[in-house]
This record gives sequence, C-alpha cells and structure tokens, in this order.
Amino acid sequence: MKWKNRQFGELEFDDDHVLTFPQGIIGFEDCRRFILINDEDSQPFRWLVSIEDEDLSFPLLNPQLFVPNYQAGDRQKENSTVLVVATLNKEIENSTVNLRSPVIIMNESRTGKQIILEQEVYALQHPLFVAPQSPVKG
Amino acid sequence: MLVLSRKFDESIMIGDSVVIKVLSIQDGQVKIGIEAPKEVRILRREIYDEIHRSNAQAAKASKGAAMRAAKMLQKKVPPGNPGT
Repeated sequence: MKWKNRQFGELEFDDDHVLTFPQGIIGFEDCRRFILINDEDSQPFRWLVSIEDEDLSFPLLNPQLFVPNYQAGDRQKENSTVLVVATLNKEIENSTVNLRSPVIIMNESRTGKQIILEQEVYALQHPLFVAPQSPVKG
Repeated sequence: MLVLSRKFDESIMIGDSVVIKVLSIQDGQVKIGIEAPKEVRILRREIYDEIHRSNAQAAKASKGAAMRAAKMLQKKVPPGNPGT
C-alpha cells in the first residue's frame, strides 16, 4: 500500500503494518488508521502517521526515557507497545511529553488506543528535557 | 441539548446499557454514579479537553523540530526520574 504524507513524503508499506485505532486519537476520533514509522533522522522519535489525513502525524517516544519503570496501568497487556505523545514547543527546550495518556499498541491484533490513566501519577505535560539548575537565557 | 431534572437517587438511562444515577447532592456538588460497558470511555470533560489540546499541538510537530529535540535528548538523557 502507498501513502503520501506531507512531512515524510511517499511511504510504502504492507497492509498488515496498518494499525487500527477504533476510537482514534483523543481529539482526532475520525482518523482510525495509522502506520508507525521509525524515521532515522529523528530517532528516538517514532511517528504515528495517519493514512487518512496526509497532514496528520504524531511524534511518539518511549516513556521509559523519562520514567524507567513507567507503567501504563493494568491495561498494559503483554505483547503491547507503549508510547507517549511528545508536544514539541517552538522553544524546543520547553517541549513536553504526555505521560498521562499513553498510546498502547497491541502487537498481535495491530490495534491501538490512547488511554487515560486514572491515577494522576504521571504528568500530562512532563518536560522533555530536565530543567537545568540555573536557567540559561539566550 | 436535552435537559432533564433529577432528584437524589434518581437515574437516567442512555441507550440500553448506560445508567447515570445521582448519588448525592451537597454544597453545590453532585456525586454521580455511572454504569456503562467497559468499552465506553468515561472522562471528566476538562481532562479530555486538555489532552485534545495537547494532541493538537503535538500534531503540529515538524520533523525538523523533532530532529533538534532528538539531538538534545541524546546530549542529556535524563538519568532516571526524581519526580516519581
């Protein structure tokens, strides 16, 4: 299957790489089919790329980069991939990751869901970069 | 919007499988009980809005910004997290 994304250009992939998000991504409920791509230039980011809207893609990161024992609640099942959505700010050092509502991909059924953790253990806007002790201006 | 008045201990049914019940009313706060199938997502509206905003902002990310962030991440990978 082929798809053209605004940022990543022409993408070619097998049909069985398509991920179905029956409920979409929160706020983007109409987009249900995605592929997860590893873009060499921007790793460790991975991209959840819509194959219904050529403008839509979400940068994702492994939450363990921020919280080594990150747990996506009891809904985290075996054989699943857990990723969190990164929000890149214009001032890149102010960027955040949303640890509160991870994206869970079931590897076997190729389905995904953005869940919301009930307990408020993790921040919705967790800093991507640990703030330096003394703020540097410039 | 459909508007219904309910008293303490009264319920509303939505479809066949969702029941919303007024459990208590006190000091301007209503406690609501909800019975719904597992697959129905139940959320406080403000949390949904916040995540929606966050996702909308995330969707604007350019590959270039991610490349810059990736470089910075490689430089200073946080050594564990003191916040948890």
